[in-house]
Amino acid sequence: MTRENLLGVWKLVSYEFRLADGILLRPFGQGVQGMLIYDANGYMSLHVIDPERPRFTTEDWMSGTADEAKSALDGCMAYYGTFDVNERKGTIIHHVEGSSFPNWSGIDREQFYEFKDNHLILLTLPMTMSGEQLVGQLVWKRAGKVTK
Amino acid sequence: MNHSDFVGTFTLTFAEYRYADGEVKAIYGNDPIGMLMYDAAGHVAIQIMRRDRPNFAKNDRLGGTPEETKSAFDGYLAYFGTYTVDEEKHTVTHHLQGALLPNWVDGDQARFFELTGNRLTLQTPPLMIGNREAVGHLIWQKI
Repeated sequence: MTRENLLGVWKLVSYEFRLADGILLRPFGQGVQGMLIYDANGYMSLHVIDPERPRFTTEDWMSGTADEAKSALDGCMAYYGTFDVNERKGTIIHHVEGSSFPNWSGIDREQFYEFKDNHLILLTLPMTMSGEQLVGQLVWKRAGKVTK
Repeated sequence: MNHSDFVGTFTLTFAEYRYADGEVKAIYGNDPIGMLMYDAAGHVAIQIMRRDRPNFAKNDRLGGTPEETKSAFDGYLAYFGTYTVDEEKHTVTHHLQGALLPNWVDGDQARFFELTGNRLTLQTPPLMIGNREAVGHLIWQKI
């Protein structure tokens, strides 16, 4: 039961881009952080960030420079919506309602999934970014109980 | 009232930011959308969006013009982490692991809350918005 296996909170372990020539890139840096949630009612939320992005020089979040805003946005991928699983095809479809990248709002993002050693692996369909053809691979592990 | 009453998925029904002189700034427009999730283990994820943000002309996440990029950034709020509830102070504190705004990463965001049935109201402490302090009021409906 794939759908049941997905439910809950997942923490990001790694995020890699594989280019057509085999080169690996880490688009959100070595220290990438992320959280993925699937709930029992069919809602999902995904966040990926590069924690090394420079802070704005102001604490006023509407008053960052164009460069600061670009670096903040480039190093963050966030979207939420609902999801469906196509077990026969081995894909999860995220029906995106809102996304930090405006062009993804209102579209479907389909990704291949695999469960391996208690990890969830998501592979994107081929996409173009900065002119390069690539596939993204996201490895997630199940989040435990919060200890604080 | 208890911690477990928070657990669930909420959709945004209202968000506005009000200055001390009464002026209102609808950062995310008059019809914002968003989702807030609290889980039983103590995780939180939040995303808020202005509905009418223009698409990038190029369908490339990193390929926006400076104007497109600034408008996309200004019209979105996103962060995730863990949360704790202080019932006496009526606050829920979000301990951020990640955020769209770099300055919020690894910091705490405390919110005053009212939880009535399926309706959760969050009020921010004064935040610097456009070089003046404003208080945010957000209303969320549990799905």
